[in-house]
Amino acid sequence: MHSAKRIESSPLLSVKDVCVAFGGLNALRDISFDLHRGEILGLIGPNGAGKTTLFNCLSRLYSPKSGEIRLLGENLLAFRRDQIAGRGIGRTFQNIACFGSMTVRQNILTGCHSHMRSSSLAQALRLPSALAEERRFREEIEEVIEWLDLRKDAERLVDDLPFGTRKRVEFARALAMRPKIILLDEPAAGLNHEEVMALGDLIRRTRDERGITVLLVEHHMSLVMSVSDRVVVLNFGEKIAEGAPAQIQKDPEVIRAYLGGHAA
Amino acid sequence: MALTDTIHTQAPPTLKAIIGGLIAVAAIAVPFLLDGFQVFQATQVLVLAIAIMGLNLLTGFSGQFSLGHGAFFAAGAYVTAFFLTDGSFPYVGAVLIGGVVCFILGLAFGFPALKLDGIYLALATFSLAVAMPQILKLSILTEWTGGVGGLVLMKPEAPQGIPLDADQWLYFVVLAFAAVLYCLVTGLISGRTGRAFLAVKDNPLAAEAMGIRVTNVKVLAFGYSAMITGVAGGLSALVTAYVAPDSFTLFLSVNILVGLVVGGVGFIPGAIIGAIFVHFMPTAADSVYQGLQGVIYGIVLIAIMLLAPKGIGGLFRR
Ligand SMILES: Nc1ncnc2c1ncn2[C@@H]1O[C@H](COP(=O)(O)OP(=O)(O)OP(=O)(O)O)[C@@H](O)[C@H]1O
Ligand SMILES: [Mg+2]
Repeated sequence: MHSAKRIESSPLLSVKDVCVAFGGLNALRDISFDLHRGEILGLIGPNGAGKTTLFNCLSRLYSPKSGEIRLLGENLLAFRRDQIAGRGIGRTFQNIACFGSMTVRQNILTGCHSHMRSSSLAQALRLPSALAEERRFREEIEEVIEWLDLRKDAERLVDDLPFGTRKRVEFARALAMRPKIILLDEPAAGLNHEEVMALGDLIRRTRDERGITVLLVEHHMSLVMSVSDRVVVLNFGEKIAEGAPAQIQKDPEVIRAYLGGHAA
Repeated sequence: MALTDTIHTQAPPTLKAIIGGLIAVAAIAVPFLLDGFQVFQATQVLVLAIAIMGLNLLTGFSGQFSLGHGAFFAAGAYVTAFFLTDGSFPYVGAVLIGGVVCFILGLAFGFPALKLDGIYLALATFSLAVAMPQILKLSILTEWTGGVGGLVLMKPEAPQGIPLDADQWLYFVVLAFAAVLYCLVTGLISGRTGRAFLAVKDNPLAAEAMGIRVTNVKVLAFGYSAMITGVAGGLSALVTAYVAPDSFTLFLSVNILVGLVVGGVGFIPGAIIGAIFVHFMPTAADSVYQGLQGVIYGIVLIAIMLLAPKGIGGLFRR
């Protein structure tokens, strides 16, 4: 079905021996995996397994106690949080993190922040260069607005919109960041059956049409298993399995982890 | 709703242009329709509106509180007055220098303010406002500040050949500053920086993930905000031709904040509504019932908060 596996020898993102501790709690222990260009990698695990913690390491919100994270060979841990967007990592959040007092269009434009150059002074003075840049990016995001079917809500305040629409706004904002990799943290949570189907389609098209590599955290098993090329399974901060969806679904340790009281 | 909620006006562009045109005509007509003292009052209202606009940029957009903007107002006024005591320096230049000094002071204050959130930042700025009159009275600064007596400056006159008296002329000077600053502020907030301000206010973590350097944005907002309020202070020095420590008490800071809330937090044109309220409401309350003016003022303020929770400016949002 998704034959577009363009796995190359050197990984786009490589996570190596990452450990994160909160006080006495080891949220991640020696986590290693590679993410290849053009891949959709599912990251699953019961509640509290450490999936969001891993995302937060990639966003530099958390600093690992030890280990390495490299993006195209470059040490990601050497950057500040606000420099990650510019390196090509876009993300959504488990608890929606839209900018509530802005319109949908403004939210998405904010995703372009790290690609825009004009200074605050140039904007205040409305210099032609600043106005031209603003216009250029406004045109650019129209395509994303259309792609995510947000046209009719574009001028509405995000706070006034229903949950499902806000999730799409967050997705659109992440796409506007022109990422190489997009991190999706439970994009299906709270969506109904049709919306989940549409989301699966959207995730595939994000990779196929936009060439963006996807790292997907999700509890919705049928979604993960149908869109992912490979799946990594975490449990209590440890990686317990990695492989193709069909293989993962049969893995006895994975089944045990999920039957261990945290059914998804 | 939170005090820092931002108001979006959704008036169509043509309506906006018509309203803007009418306001411009009215603003230009004012000094020809009113008598000398009223023109003086109108000028003071404009000055206050500029100060409120400065606070709005900070609170309404970047989401940081200040109970001490009177201190930046005072700094702008004193710097301007300092340059104008002998009457040879161009007054527009003096006001601009006051603005630049306040920009630097705002940045300097913005850095420690990074460590403080919400109510704590309000308290820190509050202490700035409390300290200001005393700092201005310090004997070691007397050479520059004039000590308790303050500084007297020359009131600017209309240039030769322009048939306006000093009050009318100053009104137009202040109006020009207000118009230019309004254009600069609206330009700023409609672009990348304005979105960064709002993003930092709404969700700092998500803002960082978008590539926004939150600390820089917060400090920059403090700088610009202090600069605008400082320019207002400089203009107030021109208008009253006199600066003294006790013109810049805590009450001034509170007035700027009240004006912001009444006009509408996050609504830039609301500044003029807030300024009119703050300037005229005490006298109006006094004329209703002498001796209870404070009570009347308070009741009206509470009534506005109840009837127009987003400020009077918020009523314009459809
Ligand atoms: N900032 C933090 N401080 C302390 N403990 C934390 C912090 N963030 C996460 N944890 C803990 O780390 C563990 C992993 O949490 P994490 O949010 O990564 O799980 P998750 O796999 O995303 O779970 P879920 O599926 O419920 O979202 C949990 O035990 C959590 O309580
Ligand atoms: Mg999580």
